[in-house]
Amino acid sequence: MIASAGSAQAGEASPERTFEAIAVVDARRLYSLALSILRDEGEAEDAVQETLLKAWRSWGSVAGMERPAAWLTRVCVNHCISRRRMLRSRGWPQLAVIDNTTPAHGDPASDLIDMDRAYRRLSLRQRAAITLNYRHGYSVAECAVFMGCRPGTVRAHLARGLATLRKELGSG
Amino acid sequence: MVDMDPGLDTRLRAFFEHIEASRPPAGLTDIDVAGGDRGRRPIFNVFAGLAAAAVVAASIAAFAIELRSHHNAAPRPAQSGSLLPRFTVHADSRVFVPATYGKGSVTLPAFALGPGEGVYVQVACKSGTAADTVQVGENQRFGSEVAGCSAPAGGHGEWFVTNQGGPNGGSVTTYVTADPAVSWEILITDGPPPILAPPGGRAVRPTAYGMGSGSVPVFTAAETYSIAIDCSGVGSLAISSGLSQDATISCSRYAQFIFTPSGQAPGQPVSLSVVAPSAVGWEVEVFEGDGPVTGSCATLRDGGGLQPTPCVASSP
Repeated sequence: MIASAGSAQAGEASPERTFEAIAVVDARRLYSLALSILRDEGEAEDAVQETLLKAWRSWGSVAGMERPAAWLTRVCVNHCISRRRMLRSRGWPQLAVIDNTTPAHGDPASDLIDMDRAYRRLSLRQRAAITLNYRHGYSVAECAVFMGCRPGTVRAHLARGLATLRKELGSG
Repeated sequence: MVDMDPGLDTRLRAFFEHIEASRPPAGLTDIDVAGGDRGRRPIFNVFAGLAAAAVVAASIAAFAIELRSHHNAAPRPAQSGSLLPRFTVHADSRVFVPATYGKGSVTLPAFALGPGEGVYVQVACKSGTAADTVQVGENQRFGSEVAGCSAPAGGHGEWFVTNQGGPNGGSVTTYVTADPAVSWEILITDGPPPILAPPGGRAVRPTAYGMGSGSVPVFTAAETYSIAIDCSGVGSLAISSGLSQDATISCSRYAQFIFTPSGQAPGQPVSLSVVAPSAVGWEVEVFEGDGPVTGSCATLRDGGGLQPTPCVASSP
């Protein structure tokens, strides 16, 4: 829910109103994107809110963009990557693996847990590349813009990420 | 789009669908936009509701986003996007068994404890079948069972055992017993977990630990004091300060409690006695300064993930 204390005049599209419209439409999309990369609800929430905050602070220029949603995506992706770096530098314990079991394929819940664990083995850039390219359907060139790197780097992240998933899941 | 083999494609698609089915937090779009100076730095405040109201009323700020602070907020239960709950790890904790996951029954690598040292165990589980429990035991004393693995949100449990190292210390080997369909995670750190001071509170004396009935060394508080208690185990713990108010806590698995005894006489020595079954571990810390409301059942826990067991207060 968005509340506005502004006094928009009838018939005008105030900056607040246009921002609200964009935020409502994009917040859920950005949250799914951030959650896919970070795999942490709290961090994803932070990423979205800080993305929206940044958008608001730059709304004068963002509102005039041809594709403000793309700008939001780029900011969100970059925020996810930089935020996680900060967390890692705090020395949070890494997950160890007891590799004594054979994944029980076919059980949906078990498959999801296995996939989640395999996915968490990927670097954040690998996750971002797979999420943007595979799930959201962006081209490699578009992914490169969102991630702030070259297309060749995106291809490398995709290839290595998928290879890691295959290895972790024992499917390749 | 990248080429994908069918098996991985199916599993990855289901995985992303699961993520996208997660409901965003309610506060995600709670945005309060006030007209005016967008260039000014917005206000971030953990008391976002109060801040937003103050901002609007006073017309002094341009913009506020209700932003939950993840460092100061109340404990947050695991949400639907999590496959398993997130553990709480305090920065100054020693980790004996790092966050470890597996399926079915395993024996975890042994770790060493010094004389008198305790452990704090956090376990989470999830299964896609009717298998519902994980049992955790070790070569000396602590042993417990976590149920609810078959629930949609999975199960979790946490407990601590004081003096797990015994008088001479020793090696501890942990055994996890579960159905092969049960996925679990475990984290063992030193314990009991630290009691966190309430806002404005200052510790009067070092934390006291014990198992079963015992007493806390005499202390003297210059101001009004509050007593914080953690306990863990099967049974209840009663604590008495010899004044007009006692507290009784249900310690099933893990509980935290803080209260301010009435009838205090600042500057006078105080002795606390604890009555509990021998299998109940506890820690007590005394704070002075701004404390909680008398008789409240507040929690001191910080960090997200696991909700402490609700406590039960009794006032004579």
